[in-house]
Amino acid sequence: MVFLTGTPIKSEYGNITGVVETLYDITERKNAEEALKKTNQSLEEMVHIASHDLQSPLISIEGFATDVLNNYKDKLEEQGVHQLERIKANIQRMHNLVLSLLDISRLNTKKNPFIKFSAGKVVEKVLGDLSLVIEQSGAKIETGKMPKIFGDKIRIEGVFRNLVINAVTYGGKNIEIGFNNGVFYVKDDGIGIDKDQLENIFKPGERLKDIQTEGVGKGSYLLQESDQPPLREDMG
Amino acid sequence: MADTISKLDIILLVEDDPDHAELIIKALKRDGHLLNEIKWVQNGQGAIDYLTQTGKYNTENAPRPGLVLLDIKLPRKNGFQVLQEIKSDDKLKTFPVVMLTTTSVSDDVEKALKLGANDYIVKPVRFQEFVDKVKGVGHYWAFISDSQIAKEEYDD
Repeated sequence: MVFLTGTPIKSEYGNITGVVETLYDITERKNAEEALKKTNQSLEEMVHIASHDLQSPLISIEGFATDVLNNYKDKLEEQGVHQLERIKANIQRMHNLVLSLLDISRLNTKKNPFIKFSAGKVVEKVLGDLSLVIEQSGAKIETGKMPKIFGDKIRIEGVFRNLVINAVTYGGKNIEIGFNNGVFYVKDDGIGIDKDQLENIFKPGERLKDIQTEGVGKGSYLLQESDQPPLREDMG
Repeated sequence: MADTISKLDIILLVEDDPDHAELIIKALKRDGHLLNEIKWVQNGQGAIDYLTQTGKYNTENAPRPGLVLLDIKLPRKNGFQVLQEIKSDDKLKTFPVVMLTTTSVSDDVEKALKLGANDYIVKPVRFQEFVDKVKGVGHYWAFISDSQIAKEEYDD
């Protein structure tokens, strides 16, 4: 495979008198790109299959735990009820982890077409998907008016989902989601981030060192990789 | 008062995981709210055979389902293949299909809706969400029940 470029030769008067054509052999580069594309596709397929296979037993465990709590609660002692509720909470954590892994794999492999969509509806869907987590945390969420935008709807949804999970996970009880002056925001009254840790939050796998919580530490990494607006310093 | 969605008789549940099937049937039958009979098949080809009354369902004169709850990952034809067959067959395409998914965050949901699924429910199925989805689909069924195709189905 070759790549051809042409450079005009101009006379002293500026007239084009000839052209220099250069041929580059890009076979190796193209083969490498194809191989990388196939690898990424395989990776995405594997993660997709793994996420489904991982979630399937989680659904069963959560379903049966809920069933026991709903139908046999009066026959259980307090400790039994508590342990079942802990089982459910941990299932939800695992479920979020699997979704997180899926998001990361798609970030690097999939380019979705840009479309016009309602950011408000995306937020509504995210809050619906996370309704159980939000309910269990006791957080109150207010959403402001959002515009219609042109972009990668699936990635934007992933970003919002991770911002809300972070807000709920890190103790936010009052969460506000909105749009102001060209910037989408998710504000919470949780523990915040120390200024000296700001530079670490965009690294995948990074999490605030002194906080025990779940997650693969990829929420803010997704923000960065999705070309989102830069972090504002007032995250405290 | 028990819910019976208008014009819906059998609900065909296509789900290969017996635990998921048990949970779905329990959720739907909880407290006796839903009176519709649920027919459970465990693979994609079985679903097509049931709908077309062929294969192992050849000798049965089973009533046609009013709704198909269809899982995606199935043996012997996956959910997408079943959905495609249903929606491309003149005799089957009027059956409302609600997909069962493990997450709403995936291309699977988008693909299913593009292939003609009427709606989707994320597992584990919650009873109220199911009723809301099915009642919406029930209106669809009632709407097309006056159409020529539906009349022919009922006359069979």
